[in-house]
Amino acid sequence: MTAQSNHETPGFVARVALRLLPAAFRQLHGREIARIWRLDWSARTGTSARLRWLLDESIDILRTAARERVVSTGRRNPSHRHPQGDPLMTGLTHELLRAGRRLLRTPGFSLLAVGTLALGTGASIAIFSVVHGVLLQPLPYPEPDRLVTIYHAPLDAPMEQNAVSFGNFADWRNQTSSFEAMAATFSQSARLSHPGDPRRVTLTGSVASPFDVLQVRPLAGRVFHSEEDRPDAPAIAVLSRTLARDLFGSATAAVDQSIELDGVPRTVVGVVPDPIEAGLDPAHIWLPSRFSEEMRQKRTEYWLRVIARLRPETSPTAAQAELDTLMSVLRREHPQANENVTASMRPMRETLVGDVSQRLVLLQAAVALLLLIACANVANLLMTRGDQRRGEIAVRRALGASRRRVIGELLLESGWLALAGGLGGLAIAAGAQRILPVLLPTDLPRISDIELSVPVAVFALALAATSSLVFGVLPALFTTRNRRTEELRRGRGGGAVVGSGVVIAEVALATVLLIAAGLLLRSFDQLRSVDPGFETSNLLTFNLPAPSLGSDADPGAQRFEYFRTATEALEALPGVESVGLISNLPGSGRGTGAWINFQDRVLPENETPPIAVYRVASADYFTSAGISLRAGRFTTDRDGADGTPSVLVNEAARQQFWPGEDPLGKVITLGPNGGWIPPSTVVGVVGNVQHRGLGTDDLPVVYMPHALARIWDEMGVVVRTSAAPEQIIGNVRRTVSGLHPDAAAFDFASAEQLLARSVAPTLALGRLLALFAATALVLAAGGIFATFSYAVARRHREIGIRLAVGAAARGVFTMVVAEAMARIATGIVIGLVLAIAVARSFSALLYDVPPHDPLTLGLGAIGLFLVSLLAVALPARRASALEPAPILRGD
Amino acid sequence: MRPLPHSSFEILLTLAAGPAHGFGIKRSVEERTEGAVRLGAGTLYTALQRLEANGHIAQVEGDPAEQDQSASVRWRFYELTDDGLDVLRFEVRRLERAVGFARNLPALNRAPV
Repeated sequence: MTAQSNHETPGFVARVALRLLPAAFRQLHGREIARIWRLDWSARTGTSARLRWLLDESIDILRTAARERVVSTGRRNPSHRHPQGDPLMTGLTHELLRAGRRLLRTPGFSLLAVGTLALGTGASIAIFSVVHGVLLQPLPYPEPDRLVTIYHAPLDAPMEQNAVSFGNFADWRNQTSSFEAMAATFSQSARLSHPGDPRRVTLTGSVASPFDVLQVRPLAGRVFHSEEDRPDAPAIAVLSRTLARDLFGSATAAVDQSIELDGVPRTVVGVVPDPIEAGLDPAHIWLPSRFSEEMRQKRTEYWLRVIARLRPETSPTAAQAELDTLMSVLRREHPQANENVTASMRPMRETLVGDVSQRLVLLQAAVALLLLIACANVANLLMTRGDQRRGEIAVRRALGASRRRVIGELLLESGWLALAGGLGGLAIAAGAQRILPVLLPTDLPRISDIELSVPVAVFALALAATSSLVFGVLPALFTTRNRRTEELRRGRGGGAVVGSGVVIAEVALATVLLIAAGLLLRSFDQLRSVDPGFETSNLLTFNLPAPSLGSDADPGAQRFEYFRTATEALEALPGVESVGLISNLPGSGRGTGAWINFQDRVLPENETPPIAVYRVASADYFTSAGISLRAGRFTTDRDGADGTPSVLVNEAARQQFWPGEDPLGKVITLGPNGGWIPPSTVVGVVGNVQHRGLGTDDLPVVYMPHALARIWDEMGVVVRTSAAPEQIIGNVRRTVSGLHPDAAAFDFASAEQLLARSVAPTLALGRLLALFAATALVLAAGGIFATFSYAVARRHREIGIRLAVGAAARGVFTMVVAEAMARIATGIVIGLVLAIAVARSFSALLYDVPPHDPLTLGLGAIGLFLVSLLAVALPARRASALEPAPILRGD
Repeated sequence: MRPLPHSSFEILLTLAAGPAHGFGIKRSVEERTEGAVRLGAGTLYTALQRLEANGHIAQVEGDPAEQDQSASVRWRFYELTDDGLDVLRFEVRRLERAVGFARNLPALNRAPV
């Protein structure tokens, strides 16, 4: 035996464990049991042996304790003093019931406390589930920490994420050893014409196989692998579960079926879970892109998004270093294409959720504030009640009840509140789950991953338990400190001081929430009033792809002719004033960039040309959309057919590329070596359009006339209507399908809707915060009311005296209110200071609104002040209406 | 008579070899069954208490040499009573009958492949 066996008394843990046993059993056998434990423990070596023993013995002692305590008739056991059962267990049940009955006798208080807790914890759980599902949960792939995304980035701005070229991707894949698998993807949309009605689906085209990287398990059939991405490989597709269900009824039914995408028949080889990236429809398709060898080598086509899985033994730093070395070689070998380009590798999870994490953190902080306010309220309620029962408790103490017993009773009551509050919170959270998708920002990834998980439920109950038990204990400690009977008559209590401190805190926190919500809503307001650069009223937008028109020597001419016919047909519809075509609709955020070369300038060696966004626009586009002409003229359909082609540029382009000069008459080309369009003359300057949505920067844009870029196979259409845009949607659809059986217009939206999409996230955030702020306000008001009601009640005597010696009722009223409002004003001031600090931390989310915006701060402060005034006025009125005589008599 | 709970059986079996204290019984059972039967401390004392109440075992003065002099815990020793011996014999016979029956079952006599 080791020296440990010389200890006389059982260790602390053993003693606690022995407490589980009924007293008599423990007294008889406790010492021996503890000794056995000690001997067993030291006889075992090794962590696993000891852990196993610990587990076994714990279960054993729990079983024994349960068995020995439970009533069991037919047992002749001399160690039980109470034949009916063990006092602790039966006593506990009775105590619980009594505590419950006590709470029910004061239903107002109990409901208020439970409701407050439920509200606070319910909101916390709901938001925390979102944060957990989107931010914290690991990605749903095996070993997700080894998944990375690799983007192009400028050497001096490695945080940027730009699309990758084919040639670079091929080299990264073939010439590195850090990665187990690598693939590249790009997103598109395609027209699905079979089976069922034609519809638009989002699509991921891939070079190599993303499934090899992600190791997704198919729900039915199989996924495709890198070897199947060859130009001569069969045309296959993998569907998402939603799409498989929509088309074929179930995942398994979809396998080996045939679908037609953009006119190309494909065989479905398998079904996988819906995509988790934001912006991809749940109905989604994955394809091997089967590009030609020539395409895979291009270094000047930048479309790809690269994902990879690290080898288990390779660290991310080593992988990044390998990529850096490779890129320096590639920069040497292809100086123009890879000028200033490096590979930027990042964990995949970061790329997926990076954008939204700030907003989610803000939400989480807001809800934590709400929870604090709820807890403060409950604390206040409990303390107030504790103070009220001071007298009763003092009497019981004087009659001999032990301090422990009284504290125990109070704790049981708090326990009930915690349980009811926690369960109520779970119910509220479950309900919130249903409506959250409506309230949440729509650009959150992994929305389908959000659910009420066990960790969240545990968190909630723990939260409710902690807050009420802690605040249940405090009054218990205060109220049972003194046995002296003088306490019976004394009216003061320590609870009062804490009570008003808590109110100040509540008010401050409510102020913060209110201001935060206000700032975000103002942001949204500012965003909405930004000039989008075109006329948004009565403007219908939609996308129109050119149907496959059969093979022809000149597809460009065919398509151009198709669009021209379509435009004419649409213009002929009643209610249509004009029609314009544009390669990417404004507010959609989609577009392509190209190098812009200026014929009258020489580019220095080793320098890359600047980049401009380019769009293809029909001649009528600018007038249809209501974009202003700032200089020169618009292009016409005749430009480009003969003579020097003309282009338009926007204000931003003029300022960036020709500062102080007149761009009219200048000749430019686009693309590397100016190969994409022939040298074209700038004939006009148009106003800026908020292309990526309201509140984004203005990019320099070059508008090519449609006649110059006939090869374009899908155009956005804007239709200026004389009445509400929605009314002509039916006619438009019919016209389009009447022109060609395969044609289908899709994604109809009024211009206003299009722009609203871009500000939707801010609005959603603002709305949610406003909800919290309103709740906080209600809670704070309730708390103020309760506190000051009680404060007034406690000062009965003082008030009675004042009234008796002639103070006017109104004077009393003013006194009470003034004292209360002084405290509340302190809370508001503290809250304002905190609010500014908090707003600074999320200022990135605010648009054109400073963190210290006086309007919001002022309104918030005044609002809170008024609400508090109301909450204080009621108890104050009661105070001034008191009859002095009964009080002075001591009733 | 109902079959003995297994903890009681093991304790009686151990005590048939001579008086022992709680820890000794526990260790003995573990050794004899090569770890297959482990009596937890709680189970052990519940069983001891029950056996004593039913008169199958009785506390006795232990051999002073068995006490760990350096420890303050005085182990209580138990021994089998005549009643307990009868109960044990009965139980053993019951088990023998069961084993005898099992030995004659064709299913249990097939040689393992």
